[in-house]
This record gives sequence, C-alpha cells and structure tokens, in this order.
Amino acid sequence: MERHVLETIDPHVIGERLADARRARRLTQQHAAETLDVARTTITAMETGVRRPRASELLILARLYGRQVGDFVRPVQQQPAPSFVVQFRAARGPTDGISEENRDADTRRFEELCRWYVELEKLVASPLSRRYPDVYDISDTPPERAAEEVATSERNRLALGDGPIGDLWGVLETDVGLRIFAMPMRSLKIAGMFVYVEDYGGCVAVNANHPEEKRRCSVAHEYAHFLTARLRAEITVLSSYRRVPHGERFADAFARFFLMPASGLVRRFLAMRRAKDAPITPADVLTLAHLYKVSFQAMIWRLEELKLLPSGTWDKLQNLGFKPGKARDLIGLKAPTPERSLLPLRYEALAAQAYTNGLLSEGQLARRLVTDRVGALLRVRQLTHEAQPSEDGEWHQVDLDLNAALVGT
Amino acid sequence: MPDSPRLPPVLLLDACAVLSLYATRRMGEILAVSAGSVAVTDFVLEEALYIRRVVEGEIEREPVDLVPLIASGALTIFSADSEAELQTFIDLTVDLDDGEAMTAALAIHRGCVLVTDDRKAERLLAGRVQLRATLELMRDWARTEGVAADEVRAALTGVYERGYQAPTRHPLKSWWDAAITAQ
Repeated sequence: MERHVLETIDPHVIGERLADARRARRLTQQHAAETLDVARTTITAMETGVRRPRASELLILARLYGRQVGDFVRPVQQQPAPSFVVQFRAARGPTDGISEENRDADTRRFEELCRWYVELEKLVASPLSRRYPDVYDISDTPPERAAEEVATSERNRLALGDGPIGDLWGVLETDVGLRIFAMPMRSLKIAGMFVYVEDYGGCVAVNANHPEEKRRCSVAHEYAHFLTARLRAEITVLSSYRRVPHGERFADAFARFFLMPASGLVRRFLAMRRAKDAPITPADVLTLAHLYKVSFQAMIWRLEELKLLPSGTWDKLQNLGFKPGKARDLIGLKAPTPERSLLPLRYEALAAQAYTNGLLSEGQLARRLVTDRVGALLRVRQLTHEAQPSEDGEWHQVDLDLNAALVGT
Repeated sequence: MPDSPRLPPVLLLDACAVLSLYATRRMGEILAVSAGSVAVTDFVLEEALYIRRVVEGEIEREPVDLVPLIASGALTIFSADSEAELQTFIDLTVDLDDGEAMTAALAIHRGCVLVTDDRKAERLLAGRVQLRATLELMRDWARTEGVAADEVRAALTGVYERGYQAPTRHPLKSWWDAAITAQ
C-alpha cells in the first residue's frame, strides 16, 4: 500500500521547518499549542522530531505560520544549509535601527527566490553556467588600491573595455553566473545583500525601493564582496560608520572603479572640455553621469577623486542648493529606467518554459513570478509570443517555442 | 425495488477554471448547462483571485466575486472533512499549490469530475480522477443554448484576456479558434 508523505518524511526535517516557520512569525510554542488545542509539550515533540504532525495539524500550523503546506514536506535537498537567515544573522556590520524581524523577512524572501531559481533550472535542465574567478586576496593591500586593481582585472576578464557598462546585471548574470534580484526591502536602509551557497552560487539582492543609479552601485558593491570574501554573507546598510571597515571601503571603491574606470572617464572628460572651449558645467557632469548610469553625486565624487574637478565641488553645489533631479529635467535627460524588475529575465523565461511544459502549475507559476495568476499568464504570453507582420500587413501573435533546439540535437 | 437513478458527478472547479469561467462574464449560464452540480473548495474561495478590466483606458485588477453564484446555489463549497482526504491533500502539496492540491484531493476522494486547464494538474492526476477542461464547458454552453456567435466570441475574448492559451493539441482547439475569430 502506498505510504503517505507524512509517514515517510524525516520527522526531524519537518520539525525543524515547523520551528523555523513559527519563529519567523515570532510566535511562541504556547500560541501554536493553543491554536491546535494541544499541550505545549506536543509542539516541542513535533519540532524536535519526536512526534510527526497529523495532516490536520500540519494544515492548521501552515495557515497559522502563513506558509504553503508544501513548504514543510518538500524534498530535503531543496534547502540550503545553513539557511540565509542564519548566515545573515552572523554577518557583521551595523544594524542602524533595522529590526531583526524586517531583516529576517527580507532574507527569507531572498532565499525563497534563490531556491525557486535553482528549482526552475532543475525542472527545465538548464543550469546557470558559472564563470567565477578565484577569490582575490586583498588582505595586504590598501582598500582603494586593491579596488582599482581588482576592478581593472575584472573588466579585462569580462572584456568590458573602459567604457560605461550598459547592462550591468546582464553581464554579471550571463558572464559571471550570479543570481541578482531587485527586492523591495522592508527597510530603506538596506542597500543590498550578498550570500554564497554551494548549490546556488553567488546570490545578490538589491533594494528595489532605491533609485536605479543606486541599485547599480549596490550590485557592483555586492559583486566586490563576491570577489574577495565569497564565503561570508553580507548585508550592506546605508549607515554612518564611525570607521568604515576595510571590506566596505574596498567594496565602495570597487563599485566606483568598476562603473567609472579612470582611463575611459578621463578621456571622455578631456574630450568634452576640449570640444566646448569653456568651463565644465553641472550640465556636462549630468550628461556624463547619465552616460555611465550613475548618480550625479557619484560622478562628481569620482571626478574629484581623479582630480578633474576641484575637491569640495559637491559640497559647494550642495551649499548653493543645486538640485540634480531638477537640472536633469531642465536639460531633457530622463532618469534611468530600471534595468530589471524584481526578477531576472532568465528566471522568468525558465518559469514560463516550466509552466508551458506542464512542470509548474498555474498557482506555482504565479507564486514564482510574484504576481497573481492572471498577471503570471500574461507575462508568460509576453515571453512566449511575438508580434510579427504578415503578408496582409496585419500584425499577428506568433508562438515562440522556448524548447526549440536551435543548434545540434 | 428499482435502483434510483445515479446522479451525475459533481464538477469541482479549481482556481484556474474559476478564473477562465469568470472571465467569460457568463459563468452562471455556463454552470447552469452542466449536468451535475458544481463546487469549489474553501481553499479556492479564500485565494485572492483577480481578472483584468479596463477602466478609463487603464488596466486594473477586478476581484473575482463568487458570492452571487454561491447565494443562488449555482456553486457549492467543499471542505475536507476526513483525515484521509487531508493525507491525500498533503501528498499532493509536494507537487501543487495548497489550493490546487485540496481541489484534487477532494475530487479523488469524492469521485468528482475535476475541471481544470492546468497542464501540470492534468499530467499528475490523469488516471486518478476524471478531468474536464473549461473549453468543454464553454462549448457545451454555446451549443446547448444556441448562443449567438458574437456573444460566444465576446466570452472567449474575456478568457483570452485573462491569459488563457487554448492547448494546441486539445480536441476543441479548432472550435476555440473558429469561435474567437467568428465575424
């Protein structure tokens, strides 16, 4: 006779998951016990694997904890160890008023997205190829010098030349093999997170509530951590460090050098100055910032660092009440549009492929695309159909077969 | 004593079937044509379901409101009431979302016809439960009621706009193609 999942699953595994979900909701065992109408010791027994939950109990607990029942009974190998929450709790750095509850909620969401990403790859047998460099040892080098060396080395490795990087996320996803999400984090103070897990590889989340220029800096910043301290989870908090630690100084400088390499920027700046035969103005710097997709402030600081502008230029403009956003509007430059929505395009395409092949249900698809069912199906249609003109001059939707073999079989 | 006539099986709609039928704007009429009674699980009822509508040129979410259908008796609500049903439900949650798993578990235990358009559910449940697609219900409604072509087209357009793709190999695909483009 066929045995049920609850009879075969390791009771310790389900117990740990129940305990973790209860703690995530900040509920006591007593609260869970009262909801189930059992003794508190019964909850202890379930969470320690001494007693398996009954089906009805598991359903009630899943609802109490705001989880899908499937979260508790899924196969064991789909979960990283240690969990992101454990890794981020161990991460060093200031918390600056960010509640543990908010931080844990964001890290859980991040972990779930990464887990789904890997599951989707397994479903459609399409693993992310990793082109990771060896970890750079920067221990004996001043952070700014190390950052310039590593940024130059990475630009060379990725054949990026010395110009602006158009699709930063695409480069790091496709050419390096990072998983990058833009998540609306509960705290505006969190700029980004980085974690490395063997099964998932390098994973980055940046705060979707930040402007696009800031997100790009955060991606580059987290990439710096990946390059030099891969095994240590990091949360980057916008904070007022009294003394900025070595690793953070390195990561900040790396982001500047990687996004605005000296040689290309100096060349462009000097060409601009020669061409106009007049002093460089804020409008010129705005144009450069727009080209490099960085903030006006970041560009000013970089030009100061390169001695192309006098030091203190940013402070002077601040004192004069200069508003970069208004100035940008005046000269007709648009704020950069986000390179990505929440999810990487590849992730969405994998989900669409899995759904189309009957490997994901509609509800699972919606969950993975972080939208409702109709929103998910409309996204699948966008990804799997293309409007093409026909001979009669009308535009028609043409199916795109995401499974079609284009080369070799 | 002669056997009493057997009642036709209950049609149990999963969430994706509810969305497609609701998007026709003729759900009540479509359900009225079916031979058996029609039900949804309490899980489907609790899931926040939306279709899309255009208001002043903007697309916005419209919540699916099943209350009138339930109040009129066109739709009944099923809930799990045995440990055996819950055991099957939990087995199915390994592969399906909770709502989908509950609908499938109750269809299996209660001998219902499961109405779904979900390919994964169809694949997992083939042989365990009788399956029907919403396309069949819509075609039955159009034929039985002799619905005008333009009304059928409007109903199917609503289904298309909810993201539904008629499966390429479905026997009613050609009916769908003809009905949704009928002049």
